[in-house]
Order: sequence, then C-alpha cells, then structure tokens
Amino acid sequence: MKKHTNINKEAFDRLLTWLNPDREMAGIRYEEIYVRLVKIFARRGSASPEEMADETINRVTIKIDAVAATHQGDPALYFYGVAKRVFLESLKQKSVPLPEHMTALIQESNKYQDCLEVCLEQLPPESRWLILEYYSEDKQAKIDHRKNLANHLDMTPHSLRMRAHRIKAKLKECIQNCLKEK
Amino acid sequence: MEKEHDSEAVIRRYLLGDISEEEREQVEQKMLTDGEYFSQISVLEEELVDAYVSQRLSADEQKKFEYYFLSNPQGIEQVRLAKGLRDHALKRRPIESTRPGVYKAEPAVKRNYLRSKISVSGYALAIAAIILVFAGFWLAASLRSLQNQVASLRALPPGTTAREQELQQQLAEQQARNTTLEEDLKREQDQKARLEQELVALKGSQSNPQSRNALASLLIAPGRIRAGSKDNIIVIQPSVERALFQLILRNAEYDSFRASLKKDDGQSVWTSGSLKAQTLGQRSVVQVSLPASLLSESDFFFELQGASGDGSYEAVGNYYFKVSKK
Repeated sequence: MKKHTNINKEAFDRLLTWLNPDREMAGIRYEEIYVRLVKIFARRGSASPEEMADETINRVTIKIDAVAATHQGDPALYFYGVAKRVFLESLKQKSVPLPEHMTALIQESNKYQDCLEVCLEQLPPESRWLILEYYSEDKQAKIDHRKNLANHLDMTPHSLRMRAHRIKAKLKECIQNCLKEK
Repeated sequence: MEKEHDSEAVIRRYLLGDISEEEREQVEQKMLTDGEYFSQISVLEEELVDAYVSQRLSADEQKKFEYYFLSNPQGIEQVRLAKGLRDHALKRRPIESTRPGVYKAEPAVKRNYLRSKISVSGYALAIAAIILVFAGFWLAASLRSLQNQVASLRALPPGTTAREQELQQQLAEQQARNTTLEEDLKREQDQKARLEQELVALKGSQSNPQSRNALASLLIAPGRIRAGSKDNIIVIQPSVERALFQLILRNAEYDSFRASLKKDDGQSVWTSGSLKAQTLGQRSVVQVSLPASLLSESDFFFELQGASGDGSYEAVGNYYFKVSKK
C-alpha cells in the first residue's frame, strides 16, 4: 500500500479505520480512491495527477478526526470535494503544458521498445497471442477483426475489451519496472 | 441497450473534455463510488487511445484528445503502449495469423485443444521417455559393436587405415547422437519427475491424512457443472478447525482477488481480505482458508472477484460446493 509522506502514522491509521473497520478492506478502498483520484486529475488535464492525488489524501488525513466525526455518506465523496479544491488551486499556480511539446515525448525510444519486447515475452503465451491479435489490424479493419476475435474466443466484445485491458495493465506495470532498471 | 450507449456517449465526451461542469462532476463522483463504472471508463479510455493511435478520430476529436490526454505522463504512457503494441502486432501479423490450433480452429476444437494440452503433454512425455530409453539401449549396443570393430581393425597391418577412418567417423557420429539422446532423456526424466511431484502435491492437498484432522481441503474448478457431484463435497469432521479451498483460476492476470462465501440462495456468509494467486503444480489457484464453524451442512459457493491494476473489482467466477458433516 502506498503511504504518503507528511502525515503521521496515527492519523493515517485513523483514516484507514474511517474507510473501513477491517484493515485489509480499508487498504483496498484506500488504493481504489487513490487510483481513481489520479485518473480524475489526469482527465482534467493536470500535468502531475499523482502529486495532486497525494495532496488530496494528505489534506483529508490531516483533518481526519473532524472529518470522521461529521461527514455522512461515502468517504470517497469527501475526497472528491477536497480534490476539486486542490485542482482549482493548481490552475492558479501552473499553466498546462503545450500538447506539441508533449507529443514529442511519445516518439518511440529504443529503450521503450526493448522493454515492450521483454514484457511481451513474459506474458503467458495465450495472453501474448491475444493482445497482439487485438492490435493486429488497423482502422476499420481493426473493429471487424476484434468482433471476429471475440466470436472465435466465445467472448462478448465487452469481455474481450476487459481481457485486453487487464493484459495491458500487466504490460504497463512490467514496462515501468523495466524502464527503471535500464 | 440504449441507456448503455447514452452512458458510453457521456463517458466519451467526458474523456475528450467536451462536457458541462455539472455532468463532469456527476461522472467523477460515480467514478469514485462505483467500481464497475470506473472499469467502464478505463476500457473506453483505452478504446479512445486506440482510435487516436490508428487515426480513427475526427480532426476535432484528435485536437481535444491531444489537449486532454497528452498533458500528463499517464496519458503519454497509454498512447506509447497502444502505439508500441500496434506497431509490434502489425509487424508480426503474417507469422501470428498462421498460428495453428488456436485462432484458425473452430471454437470447440480450440477449447478442447487448450483443455487437453496439459494432460496430452503428460502422456506424450511418458511415451517419449519410453522411446528414448529404448533408443538409448540400441545406441549403446551399436556403439559397443563399433568400438569392437575399431579395436579389431587397429590390430590389422597398415593399409587398412581408410576403413578404420570411416569406422572412427561413424563412431564419432554415433557418440554425438548418443550424447544428444542422453541429454534429451535426462530432460524428459526431469520433466517426468516434476510431473510426478505435482501429482503428489495435488493428491496431498486433498488427502493428506495428517492435515485431515485439523484441516479439510477442497480443490474446485469454477462453474456449476460439477455442483453436488462427489468431487465438490467437502467433508467436515468434528475435529476439523479450518477449511481450505483452492479455487482453480482460468486466468491469473489479476493483481489480487477477494472471495465471498455465499449460501446457495445468495445469502452472504463471509468475505475474505485481499488474496493472491498461487501456483499449485501447473495450475494457478487462489487459496481461501476460513473457520470450519462457518460451514453448516448445506450448499455453498464462492464468488471470486479479481482486482485489476486500476483498483476496480471484476467477477472472475463462482465455485460451487457442498458441505457434508460427519
């Protein structure tokens, strides 16, 4: 579990208890909220969504005693209120990077390609085959190909998308680790 | 269905930033509180990234996409991965598409192929090992015969060297073949030993008399097919304190799992914490251990859910079993 700096252990423990009295379930809920906050900040165009999710959690943790005593309903919605404030503040401080500058970063580096190769090899053969089939046509042909692929695998198109999504999540994690090692 | 499309349209507009502030807040609040909705957004987000990478977005959508997605490292990472996979797949396409037995086969054939792959390989290994043993004996015998011929030729006077060289060459070739076969045999024997160990482990997990006193265990495959059959009955004797269930996974791609024990009518009895997939022989399983006192003589099932990288939970499968108390 990711634990954030600048907050003491007692406050963090109280935060977890507020999320769920069962420590393990609280940990799972905490991670869910963190991951979703990152996504929300990212989709709002934030340049550093993880930092902003950290900041949101820090602010809730610091005030946990008052929050736990007064907030009614799903704790995730309290985080959301704080997240909106964090985002509005960030707009005053930073300007959003220009897309042109960021697109340059997408250009493939050999290092990234090497890691992708390595990580594809580490996938179970059926997963590797599926994800490469999933991407193996272009434009309109891709849509038809995926429909056929789902039929051949006795899956609904939605199940196929979910399966590809999970495989990509594994690949992302593997590539990040690989890039750190290189 | 129409509702689903409406929802997808709203999410698509949300992802492209083409949404009112009020709608945005509704989407974001639902993202935080509803795991399934969050998964749906993640999947549609990937669809959008794919569409961008394969240039299927309109000029306006492309502009919006670049503004909202390429302004942070996560978005850039998503695009890089999709682009990398697409390039990789398109390069490999001619090889992969000819892969036999899976995609080209009819679904039923393909399923049977996958299902039987492990057991067939076990028989094949045993047969291969027997053939290799016989081949080994035959080679050893012919090697001895060649060695005798070379020894007797060495005793002959000069002038017979051409024949001797020929025989020595044959001998060297045989020795090389013998070495390869010995290596193959060793490999097969190792594999056979591993398979035997797996079998012992699998049997042991169900019938270890030592563990039977304190622990009852059951290995279950997902689905209702075998519900109520002998295989899916766990016997709880009075001395049993804990019950261990090994839930066989069809795919172990999730980071973690959670299992809910439910009665056949759906009434929830118990929920696990976070569980990890483990390897049992050649299988991936999730092990669930719980107090035997929770199990009355009745029909139950485990509802297994997998946590994906984005923190959401998805249904993996249901595992049905019956409890018998002795």
